Amino acid sequence: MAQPSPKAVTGGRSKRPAALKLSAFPTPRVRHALTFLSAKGILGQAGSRKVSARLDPGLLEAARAKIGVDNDTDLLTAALAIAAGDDEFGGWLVTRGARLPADFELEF
Amino acid sequence: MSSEPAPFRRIDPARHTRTLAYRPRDQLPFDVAAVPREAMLMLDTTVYIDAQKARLPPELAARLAGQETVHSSVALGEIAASIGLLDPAHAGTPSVAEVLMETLDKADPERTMAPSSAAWLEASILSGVLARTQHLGKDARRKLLNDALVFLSANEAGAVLVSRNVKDIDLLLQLRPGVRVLLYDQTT
Repeated sequence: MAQPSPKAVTGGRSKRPAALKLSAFPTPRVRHALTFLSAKGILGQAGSRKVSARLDPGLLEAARAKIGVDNDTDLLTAALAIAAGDDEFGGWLVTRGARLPADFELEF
Repeated sequence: MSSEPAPFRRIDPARHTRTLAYRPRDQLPFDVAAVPREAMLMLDTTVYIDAQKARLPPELAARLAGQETVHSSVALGEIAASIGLLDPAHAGTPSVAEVLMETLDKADPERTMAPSSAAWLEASILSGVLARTQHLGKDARRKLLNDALVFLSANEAGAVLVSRNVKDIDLLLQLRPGVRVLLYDQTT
């Protein structure tokens, strides 16, 4: 069996991907992440990149069920959107602990 | 040009001639469980401070950790103004200023919403009406304008405003009932 070319496996560029449809992603967290990445200009660049990976099937199915998408492209898009564009501020804020004095009030 | 009336025309100041009464708590939006988990949360200034005094209710802290948050440029501006107001001669100022600056550093500009010009006009009318009906002094008027700006920014962003500013938000909701808000109390 012929081996795939390195270009196909590691990131040869191909045609521009179809514009992402937020409605394809039922998970609000994914939609928010995609919206944020789009606002930052990270999404929508010319071309697309094909990737290939060997993944645990249990992991794939669990992620597919949690994210609620059918195809691998949407699944990987959603996973990468969360990795790159998830909002971390709330988690950061509530784990800061008591850094301000108990009697501190904003002066403004 | 749109046939929709300008947002600042939503409020008819002449209709509001009496001092508004504060409503009982059971008529105010204190229920965390009523806020959809997919909703974006806009943080009022109190949230940044109470969180870093470890005085947020646990159920609210859990929601903040798991939901999308957005910032109001007005709330961040209040924090920034406080940095400038801290007494340089006070021994505690450097550490407090650093905490506040870290907070501003962490708030992503892409997730920070400034009120539109329409929101500024509407907020100004809301705060003007309340300044008159509630007989507010000059300092309270300025504060209420900021509250109204954050309140309408959340509405523009489609977010739920999270605030401990119960009294002012109660008044604003009486004039503008459609805005989504979650109120909370500090823990002791």
